[in-house]
Amino acid sequence: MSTPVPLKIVIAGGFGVGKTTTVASISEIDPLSTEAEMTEVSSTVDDAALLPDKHTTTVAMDFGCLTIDQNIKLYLFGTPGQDRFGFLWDDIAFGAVGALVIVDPRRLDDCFPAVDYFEDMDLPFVVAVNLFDGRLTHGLESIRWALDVDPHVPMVTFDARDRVSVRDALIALVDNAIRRVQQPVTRLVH
Amino acid sequence: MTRVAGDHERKSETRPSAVRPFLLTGGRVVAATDLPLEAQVVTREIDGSWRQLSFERRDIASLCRAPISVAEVAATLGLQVGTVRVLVSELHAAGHLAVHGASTEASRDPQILERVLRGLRAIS
Repeated sequence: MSTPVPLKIVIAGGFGVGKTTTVASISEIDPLSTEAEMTEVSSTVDDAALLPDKHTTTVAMDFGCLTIDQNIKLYLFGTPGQDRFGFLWDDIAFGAVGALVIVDPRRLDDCFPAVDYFEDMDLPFVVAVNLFDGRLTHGLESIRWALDVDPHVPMVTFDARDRVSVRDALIALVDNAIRRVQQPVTRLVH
Repeated sequence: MTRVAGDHERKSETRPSAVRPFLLTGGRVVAATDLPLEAQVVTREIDGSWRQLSFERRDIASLCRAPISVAEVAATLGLQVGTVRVLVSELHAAGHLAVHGASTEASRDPQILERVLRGLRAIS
């Protein structure tokens, strides 16, 4: 049996934005969860967890997998929801094809850490607005303005519960990754 | 101990594993940091010597008879990723496992990315 080439895509975004749902919709295995022990990178405490100040913590990381063809396996790794786990993000993001940054249009602020992170990492990413109720009250361009993402970053709307919709969001990301390889973006330095 | 996804919130209440990771790895620190989560691990069946291994090492070798990622090994066996990395790199050094990673190159290869695109488009 030949060993497949493993590729990965990061599924990022704020807490409860639909990352696990996204992975579950398209993964051919039931999403798995594994634990990683890590050092906290910041002293701020998010209000969802109310964790006491401590040096290491264990987070669960969800992931799924897709067989692309006989020789390529694509893994989808969800980032832990809290942005203080930046250390784990490095682990997940290193060598990735790119990232899908999932946005809840009602809570735009939650995705700022993810957007900043992938911009800093210079990793291809797509902003995917999860339409929980099927409607978008703001236009995509106003969301782009609010998030202050560069014009070359694709923005799509999708439904995390729908397999084909998730597929299309991933296609937008891989398309973008190919364009980035062929024509590297010269980033403006402000 | 495979858990379904969606229970990130449990993190701090998770019961400690029965054996601490440093015991599993014999107290040795092995540089395993260059093992990506998605790296494929395969048992080398040459002489079946992995069958002489015990506990987690044997579980890993048994599980990896078909290629599987580091992350899947951790999730399937209920071990922390860090522990699996150390055990896998140790088993690799001992010749029991082959490890295939190098996705950094592959994820910047337009031909491979085009194949990913075709594979995704075939999903319905």
